Amino acid sequence: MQVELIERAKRGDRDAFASIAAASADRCYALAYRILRDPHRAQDAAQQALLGAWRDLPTLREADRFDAWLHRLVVNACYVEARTERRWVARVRVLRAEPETADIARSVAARDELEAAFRQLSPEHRAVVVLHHHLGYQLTEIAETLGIPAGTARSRLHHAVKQLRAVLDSDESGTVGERMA
Amino acid sequence: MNRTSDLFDDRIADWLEDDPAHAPAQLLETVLAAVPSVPQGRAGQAWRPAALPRWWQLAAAATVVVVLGLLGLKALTPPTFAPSQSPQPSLAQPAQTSTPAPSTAATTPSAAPTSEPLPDALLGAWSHAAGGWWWFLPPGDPECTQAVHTTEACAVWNRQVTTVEIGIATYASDVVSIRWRSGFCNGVTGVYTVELDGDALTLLEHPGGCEGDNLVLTRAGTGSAPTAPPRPTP
Repeated sequence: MQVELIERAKRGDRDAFASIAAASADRCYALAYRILRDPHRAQDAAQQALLGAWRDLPTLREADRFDAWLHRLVVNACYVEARTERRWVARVRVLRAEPETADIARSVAARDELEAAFRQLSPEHRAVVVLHHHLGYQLTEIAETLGIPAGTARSRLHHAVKQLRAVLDSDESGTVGERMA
Repeated sequence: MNRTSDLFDDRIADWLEDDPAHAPAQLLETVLAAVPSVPQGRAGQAWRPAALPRWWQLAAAATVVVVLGLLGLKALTPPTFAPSQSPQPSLAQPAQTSTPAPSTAATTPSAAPTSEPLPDALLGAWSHAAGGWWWFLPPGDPECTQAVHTTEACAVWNRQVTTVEIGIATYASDVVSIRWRSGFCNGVTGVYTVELDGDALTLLEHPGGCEGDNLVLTRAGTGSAPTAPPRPTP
């Protein structure tokens, strides 16, 4: 992100902020979607994060840290969104056409398992997994972005991966058992 | 990391990669439409009452003046403890077993505080289990005045992996609020319920703060004790 644009937006230049928002919207949404697993909630969280960025930009002292700062706003907005009670929660699973091969069927099943396992994680654990496995952040970068000690980031990632692996392993062993029976 | 772990990591990464990468157009439109109605904060100030009507601001200012005046009057009036009364032990006045009970004269406040001071038991240095140091510094400390331009108490958080964070600390009823003014938490206010048990301090963070987690700290010194770490340098 261009530092000059950020500096202008910090001084209240709405056009500059519009450029920043346009360049950041996809990234905010993609991050929020991966954490929340829901398009509507992801959109709400990304909107809140971008509006929060506009409101609090003057307090950002280091413009070159904008990206990490925005990621933190998105993650925090996801925490809020995840804890907001909804009157109803749509759990829509897209019904796919009959798979052509057994490989595709297995692939679809594996992705469904991963989705189900990921949904069992808390928002804090999901965020660490997404920052590490999707954005490629190292533990110190995750700690810095989320404002948590590196040890906390490490333990969250360890716990999340362990939990995912446990769910997937148990599913796979169940499938194998069914096949053998 | 072994091959199994790599495969597992790849599987997660591939799965995340397949999620949508583009935001609906409506998202940006909504944000840009809302921006004119969202006032920007000022540097070094997370919130300002710009949205309040003028008469509201004047009324609030008048209320503050009256409350401060009453507090000042109360502070200047010597307390009248009945002989049988004893002060309730609290964080601010930890039970003292090695010193005589304070007399009435000794409990007379020397100044009129405008806010509840940080408890003495909190002041000093604290170490974090995962590495790094916290300091709670009293009002007027040079770190507080130079780094964040405040005469209030402040908190310093050195994670050792990021820039030192400094915030203005206020305290009320076992809850400390820290308005971070430098470092990565800059602009965020963290609110923590304080649980102090001997040399173990736990800060239970309320939602929406900077850490996203509770902090477990161990006393490292009072700031002048030999075990205290070096003073923080922003």
